[in-house]
Amino acid sequence: MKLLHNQLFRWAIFFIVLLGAGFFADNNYYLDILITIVFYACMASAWNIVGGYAGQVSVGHVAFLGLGAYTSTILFLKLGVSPIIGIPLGGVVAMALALGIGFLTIRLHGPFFTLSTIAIAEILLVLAIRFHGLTGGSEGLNIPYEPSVYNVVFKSYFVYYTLFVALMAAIVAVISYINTSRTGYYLRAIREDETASSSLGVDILQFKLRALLISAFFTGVGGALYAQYLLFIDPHTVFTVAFSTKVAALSIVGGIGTVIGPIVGSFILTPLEIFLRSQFGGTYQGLYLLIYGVIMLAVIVLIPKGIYGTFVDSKNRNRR
Amino acid sequence: MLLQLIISGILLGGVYALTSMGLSLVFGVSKIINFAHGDFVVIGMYSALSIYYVTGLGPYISWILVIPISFAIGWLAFQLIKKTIGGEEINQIFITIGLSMVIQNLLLMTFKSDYRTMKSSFSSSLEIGNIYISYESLLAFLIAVAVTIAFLWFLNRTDLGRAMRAVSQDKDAASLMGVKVELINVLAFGLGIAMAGLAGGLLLTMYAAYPTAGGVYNLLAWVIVVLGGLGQVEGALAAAFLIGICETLTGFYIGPDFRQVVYYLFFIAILIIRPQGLFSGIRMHKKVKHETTA
Repeated sequence: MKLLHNQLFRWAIFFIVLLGAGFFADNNYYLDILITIVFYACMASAWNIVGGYAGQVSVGHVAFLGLGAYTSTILFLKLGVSPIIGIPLGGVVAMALALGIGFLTIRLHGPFFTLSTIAIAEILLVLAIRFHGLTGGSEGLNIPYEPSVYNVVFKSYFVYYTLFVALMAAIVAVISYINTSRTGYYLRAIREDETASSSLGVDILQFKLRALLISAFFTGVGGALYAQYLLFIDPHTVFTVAFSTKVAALSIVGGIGTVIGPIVGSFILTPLEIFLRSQFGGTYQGLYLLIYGVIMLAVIVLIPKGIYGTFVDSKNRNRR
Repeated sequence: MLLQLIISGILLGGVYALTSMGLSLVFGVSKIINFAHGDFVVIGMYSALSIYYVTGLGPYISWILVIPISFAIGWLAFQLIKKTIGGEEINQIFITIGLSMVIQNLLLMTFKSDYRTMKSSFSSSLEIGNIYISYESLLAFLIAVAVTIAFLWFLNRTDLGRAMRAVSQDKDAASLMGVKVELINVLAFGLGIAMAGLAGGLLLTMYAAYPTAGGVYNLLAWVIVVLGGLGQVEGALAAAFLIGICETLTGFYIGPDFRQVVYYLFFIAILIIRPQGLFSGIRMHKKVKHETTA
């Protein structure tokens, strides 16, 4: 109990510092960087629930992001439903998709689950382009810039920033809760040895499915919120598999299966990406993704547990 | 029209067969889950293109060069990938995904994102009744078939081929019988990538090359391998023709953007209903699971 208390305290300080950084940034350029970092930290943490804890590697997570984004945006543009309702609903719709595909594919072994998630994301990409009337096709959808709380469109970047930090706090809270709950122990047991835990009576599929649902919900909410921030979505940004690999890369570099790992990953790689894009984006298209790839390869070969995972390991070793 | 489409599908399927046999070989022998296979196909495409730009040779000649180039690249890639063999599966998946990111963006930086095609060197096409077949795709198909037959002969009739099959069945037993497993692994990987590269060079007669095409060809190769039954070379062959035909038919009747959607759906259905593949009675699915958890 003391440990939990301590952890809670640490997280509280972390989020206060994070918010304070945004408050004092006082400049939209820096706030945009902070928002992007926190957004990717959210996405990586959400991915980590199913990829890191349940050990089911999804590279099609962008399907949930896109579905969440399109749900809230379409509801707002076509029916005038406020994104205050639309954003959580986006998460619910993403969760419904996760339930549908998870029910069918969660039983697939490792790489085949991964392949099926890629296929699903690709299918949604084509459908989003095809159903032009609803989704605006390849041109995408624009959310009009009319700041109001009802529209969830704000003049101040700091409000968006607060929302993203709140989302991250929610994800961290849920993961920490799962970690100490029965579900968390089962998930860890499943990841360590599927056959053994199954023979001890753990309903593997049910727990994996749970992890997928939670992960999809947060990814969908994040996608919807991101659409409100960008005021624009199109199929090639919200349904591209490259986004999923990027998010997974953040977790791997930071350390999968840990609460902090994906956040560490995003805080290191996202600023690097923004820097590389602003410096070399025009002349060397793709340079930042190349460097992402190289970093990912280096981490897997040299420190397979990721930066944070390796840090924790060495700390434990010293303590002993 | 239907006959025309089916024939184009078969020509396409012949080249697809090459791609997926390479993947099947790599997966069977070294148990590597290669998510960058499609990117090696694209490397083959750009190799053939570069040869064409420099020497003016078409893909039906340059394939002789594309094979050793791809083999060398495969050999190099294996030196990296082998570090994860026997490790956690998630790292195995992500080392090839990372490799795929590196290849795609290196290609993007060197060749830019344009779609590149090759000018046909034949002005006419073969005409039988009211069916048209371009000489280039026909040649590509014939080369693909010839290489496929040579590969099957190699796998079944030579000592090296037998060693590869032995490693694929039981690498410990093979090692005890004096097979150099390490060497066989790298040779199989190189050979698999060489076939992917060759397929890429030949595909250039039908499709344009662009840096991120690897994603499409990667999933395609896996679809075929799963459909044919994992590690079943003959099954993959049949599945390749099926997918080729499926692609030309949906491309024409539903729309070119749906070309992949139909077989992706088909793929998910197969994974769920018949994970052992369409044409096989052997349950490789279970076996694979065993070997990766052991």
